[in-house]
Amino acid sequence: MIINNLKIAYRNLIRNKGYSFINIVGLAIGMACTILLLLWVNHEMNYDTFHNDAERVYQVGNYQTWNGKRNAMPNLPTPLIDALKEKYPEIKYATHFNAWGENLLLEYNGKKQYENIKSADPDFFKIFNFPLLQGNMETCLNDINSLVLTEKSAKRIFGNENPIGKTVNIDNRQPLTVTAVVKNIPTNSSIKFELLMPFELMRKANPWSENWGSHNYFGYVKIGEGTNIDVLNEKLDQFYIDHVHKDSEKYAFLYPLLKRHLYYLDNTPSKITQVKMFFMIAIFILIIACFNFMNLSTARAAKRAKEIGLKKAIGATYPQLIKQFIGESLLITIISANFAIILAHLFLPQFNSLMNRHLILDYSSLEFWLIIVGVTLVTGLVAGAYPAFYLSSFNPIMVLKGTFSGGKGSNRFRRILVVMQFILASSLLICTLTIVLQTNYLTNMDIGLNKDNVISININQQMREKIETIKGELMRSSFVENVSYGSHRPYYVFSNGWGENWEGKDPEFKPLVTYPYVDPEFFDVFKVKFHSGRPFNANNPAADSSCVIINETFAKMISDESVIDKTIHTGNNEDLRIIGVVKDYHCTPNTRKLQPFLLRLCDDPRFLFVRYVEGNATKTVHEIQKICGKYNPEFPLIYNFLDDHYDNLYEGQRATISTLLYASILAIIVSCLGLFGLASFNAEERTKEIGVRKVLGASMNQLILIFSKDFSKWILIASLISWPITYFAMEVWFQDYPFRIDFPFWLFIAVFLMLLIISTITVAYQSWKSATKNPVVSLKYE
Amino acid sequence: MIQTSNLSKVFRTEEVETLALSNINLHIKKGEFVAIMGPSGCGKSTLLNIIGLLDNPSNGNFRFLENEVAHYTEKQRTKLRKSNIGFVFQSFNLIDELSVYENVELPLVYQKVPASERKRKVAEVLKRVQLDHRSKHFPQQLSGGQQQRVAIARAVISNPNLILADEPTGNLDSANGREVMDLLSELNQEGTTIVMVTHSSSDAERASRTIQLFDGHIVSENHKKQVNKAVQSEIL
Repeated sequence: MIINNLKIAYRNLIRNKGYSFINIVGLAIGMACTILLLLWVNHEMNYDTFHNDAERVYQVGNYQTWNGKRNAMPNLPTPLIDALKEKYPEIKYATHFNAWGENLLLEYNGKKQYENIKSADPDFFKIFNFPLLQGNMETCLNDINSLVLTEKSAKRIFGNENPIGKTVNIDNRQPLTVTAVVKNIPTNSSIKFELLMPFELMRKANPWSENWGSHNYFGYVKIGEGTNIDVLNEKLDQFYIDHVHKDSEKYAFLYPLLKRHLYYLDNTPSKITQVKMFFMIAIFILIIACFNFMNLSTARAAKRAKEIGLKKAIGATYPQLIKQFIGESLLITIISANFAIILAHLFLPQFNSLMNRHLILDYSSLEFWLIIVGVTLVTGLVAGAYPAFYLSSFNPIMVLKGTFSGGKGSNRFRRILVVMQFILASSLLICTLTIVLQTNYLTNMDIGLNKDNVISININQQMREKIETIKGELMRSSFVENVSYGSHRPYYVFSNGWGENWEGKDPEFKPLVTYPYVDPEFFDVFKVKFHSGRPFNANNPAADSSCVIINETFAKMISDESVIDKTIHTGNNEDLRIIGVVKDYHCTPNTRKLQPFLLRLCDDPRFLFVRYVEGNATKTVHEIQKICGKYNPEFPLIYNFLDDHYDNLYEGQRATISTLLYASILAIIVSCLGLFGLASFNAEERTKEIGVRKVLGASMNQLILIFSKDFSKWILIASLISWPITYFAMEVWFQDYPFRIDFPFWLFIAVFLMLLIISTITVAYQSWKSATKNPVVSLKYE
Repeated sequence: MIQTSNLSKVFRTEEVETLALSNINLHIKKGEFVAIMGPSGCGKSTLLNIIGLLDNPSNGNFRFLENEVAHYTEKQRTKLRKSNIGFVFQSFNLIDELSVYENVELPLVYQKVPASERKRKVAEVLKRVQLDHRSKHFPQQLSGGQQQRVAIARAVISNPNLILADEPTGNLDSANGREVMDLLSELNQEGTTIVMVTHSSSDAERASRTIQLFDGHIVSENHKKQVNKAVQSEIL
């Protein structure tokens, strides 16, 4: 029986090469796409799971209250971690972690290079299990001069030498000795480092961080077995009040490491949104591919009718027939799955570079095969079930007498499927294009300051000491318009607080204020406009040391009238006089609201900004290298062009857009494959009609129009349905963006026309083929 | 009206070459009613298709309404066909998705006749075939005879010079068949030329001339009286 069914299935495949091709290609593309996306989803869902007892590892968070709201922050006061470990026996291990690291100059054997070095306490390796290659995990961070490397950084610094016991020099002053080498950090680790030194060194270098008001580093703990985390978190809620200050408005808490990649510390969704979105898209594309299969199988029903009728007449039961057809669809799905794996394998490198991941098709892993078998079975059953029930239900008498009018009953069903396919395709495309437009809007938006033709240079300690001299020499260059220095890149300031007070302020009102530190030339270099007042005095900056310049947003918070000469009292007990108000500009990425900010003179510059005369970029870079090299010979220069740096802030969003675009294109291709198959079936079914119309004098264009009209109607219906869905979905998405475009309604028409053109081209071939057939042949069909 | 000389038609497939018509010489005058008879596969329908400008002959000459059309392109044939020839098929060939009215109207649509005039003409012709009360019905809702009357209505709606009927009663019972033949005779008496392929001697009897085909050749041509005799001898 099975052999017989397999034979029939095989012969059907071979005899109907066109249909088989469309079925297999459609399913293979859909499945390949789904496999890749699910691989990514699986990867994202399994962050940090490789640590032993990962479920007992928590990140320490800090709620801080402003404007009556608790805001979760990952940055902690340095003493907090020590205190937690000491006061709560449930916490077995605790470590600081300098998550951003510091770019320090590393020297070995006369070779110098900048390396990003992070730091952690000795407990770090008791909390996290990064597989060790050399050294001792228990003790590798005990010594204050120790250094832990990964395979990659060891190779980079030491080449083929054995790094253990070798000493490197950091920033020309601090010797560190390599004590351990770990394997490269897995891509699904939210804790990342290449070089790790003892946190103790950070503490020594930055004694100012040892107070409860300064929040700088991350912290992680591992709790004891059987500890109830909810109880512990309740205790921690009281920590600051009990141990730091009885009026403290800060609250410590622990957040599970395993959720950290997908959620923010306050448990609001972060990556999980994208994971859900891509998971849905994976399902969508698979559904579209399944619909194709269902469409084509039922469309071909008439051709199979005789076989079914005969089988029924000679005694096949309904379940036997259903098994046969489900088996056939599984056979096709299994064939497609093989092609899908090949496709996935071929496109994995592109997919990886798109998603910025290093996913592999791990043929030895159970998870991989679970995904493959799962996708195949679901596809085979979903795609096969309806056709199986439909075909098996044919009435044998009607079929054998020849009065069976094959497939007409399922016509409506097929139309619904095609309409649904195009609803998905249209929605996906409209959403993607809306996101593209919004991102373009954000990247090209006027943020209130001019960042073009500006080079930013990272300042180190040696340069800092000579900053005024360097600035003066640079300004004398003919390629340079102006030079400024400051604490941050002006559109990327994440230094803030809420301790400001002023006359008439409601004590409950605690806005979060951003603090960029600048020099008097800042306003000229970045072409920041003044609303009122004046800039800092360039000739005698010291005179303005207790003066501030604020932005319009902040000024409006203080008073509706002029705020010039009013005083702001800071959290550090300083009184600052407002001498100017600048027009608002974005001091944080424009995915956020305009922040109130307070500009002060900078005495600890981190960046030097050189505005050059347009067209002189290269010459200016040479000039900068010459001048900075003179005062800072030991450290190579780190610089970049500000507009490039700004553009890079949107890199993540661009990757999402590319993935969405590819997914939309695939959805349309797979839908069109189905449409092509259906059009050919339709042309076949309407052969007689075409013949009659031709005999009666219809021209070829008129005939093609008949076909296109039909499909156009479906696409119009699909579009009409997709419009409100996408509108509401995108309005929800827009809620996260204070600066946004108006909903691009014209996209509705544009996408509709695009789908119309694509589908017309798809069906045109089939209609042309049948329209050019000799009508005599068509009419012989009867 | 129709004149063929040494007309042949060859069908070729990869393996076989079939001579469907060979050296057909035929002359049909305006107003004639010609029946073509012969066993299955003798080339009747092929001849009808060529006369109806649906197909080109392989060899020979074919004059239709004073035009040499043997080598006309598809487009030229369509143009000539649209305004001059009406077709009636054995299997009616009505479009199931269109109503009786719409089926009959279709040739006028393709001839770009204005809507108001189409409406008038369709009403007229449906009345003529006594189906005016069925104009909104769909083909499946009609009896075979009624369907064939719709097909005839469609064939005559554009006042063609020539009606080609391919076994018009082949799918009908005798009562319905008689009705259809009455209608065709009537049209002929009003001046329309009719060429009909048939298996039925009684249908052929309505024609003024019967051509017998066998294996792609014309084997005999009888005028009405001779046919009658033949019929008589058959009966005897």
